[in-house]
Amino acid sequence: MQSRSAFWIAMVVAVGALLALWRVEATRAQERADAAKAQATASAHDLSGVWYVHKFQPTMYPGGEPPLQPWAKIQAKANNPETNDPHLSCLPHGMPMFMYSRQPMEYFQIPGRIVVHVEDDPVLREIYMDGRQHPKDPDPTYNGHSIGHWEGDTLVVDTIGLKPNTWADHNGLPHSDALHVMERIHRVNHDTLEDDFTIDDPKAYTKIWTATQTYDLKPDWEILENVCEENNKYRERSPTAPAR
Amino acid sequence: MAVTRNRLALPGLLLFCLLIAPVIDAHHSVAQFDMVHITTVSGTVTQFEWSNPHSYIYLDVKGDNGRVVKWLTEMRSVPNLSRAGWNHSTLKPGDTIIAHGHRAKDGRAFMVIDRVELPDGRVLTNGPETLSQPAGGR
Repeated sequence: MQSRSAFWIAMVVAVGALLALWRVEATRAQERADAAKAQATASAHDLSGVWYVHKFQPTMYPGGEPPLQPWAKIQAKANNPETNDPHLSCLPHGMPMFMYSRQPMEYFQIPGRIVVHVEDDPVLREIYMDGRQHPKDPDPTYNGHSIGHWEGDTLVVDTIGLKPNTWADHNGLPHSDALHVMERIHRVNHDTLEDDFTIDDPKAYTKIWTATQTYDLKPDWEILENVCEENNKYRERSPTAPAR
Repeated sequence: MAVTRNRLALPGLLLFCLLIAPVIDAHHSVAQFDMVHITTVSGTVTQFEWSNPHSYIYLDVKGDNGRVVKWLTEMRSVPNLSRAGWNHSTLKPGDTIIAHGHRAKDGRAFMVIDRVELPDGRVLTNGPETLSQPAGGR
């Protein structure tokens, strides 16, 4: 009789041990899966690095006549990259031009903020990630007031409070102080970043329109110092150049 | 460039250039240049301005008649040139170089550099070239 109970006790212990091992392995598998998912999410949420526009686009309106308000149509015709681009005097590009730059840019992610530094602009772009809302009546600035949040793997950024004296693209598309820029920034793969813009400016445009800019990761590039005011031979062409 | 006897040719040409200039390319620094043709000059460096937003090479170019023409050649920013192998010591006054570039449409001795053949034989481009971004302009 004793050997039979010993046998059954041994069986129970063995089954118990197997169950325990199976549980441990299941837990470990779950942990590996969670870690992999966290890694993937972390990678998708990692925008850090130096990015360079894949293809320079002098005009951002994707084909055809931009839906400009009458005054803005006149302004667009008068805007000439040769003579009256406000940036000719080294003033900041403003938004959205900041993101269309033909110079590389670097993203820095710090608690509560994403900061973007583009090589040819003296002003950093600050995207607040701390949940704050836009102020009711923001002081207009070149880069505006930007707030962002993650929707899955896409960084959604909303910008208002923009000074009107910048262009909306290199060709001279105008905008007003009512410009509201929405962006969906997505790391398509390790080496590619895509920024989908929605341009909503009812004072300057009759319709909301969209544009896309793609950027390539440049792992061996660094942002270097580029002081525009140093030797700007085009300064005198700019209507905004201060008198010396 | 040759100008025909037609009196409207030159004003017409200028008007055409003014009209198409903003369309071809929107940077200020390439709209003023003939981006289709390459001009080549050989000369002596009198000044190398390693600066932003553009760097410049001043060149004394001896013309066919023996007279020296003073050329100004424009390049991209210091960071872009650095990425193409340039640095502040790449050129000095007295160096002889061959410069290939796009000349100003108005015919001045002024061009934006495409590439430069250095005294040591290296050929450096005007900033980093990528498939979709030819060197040139800002």
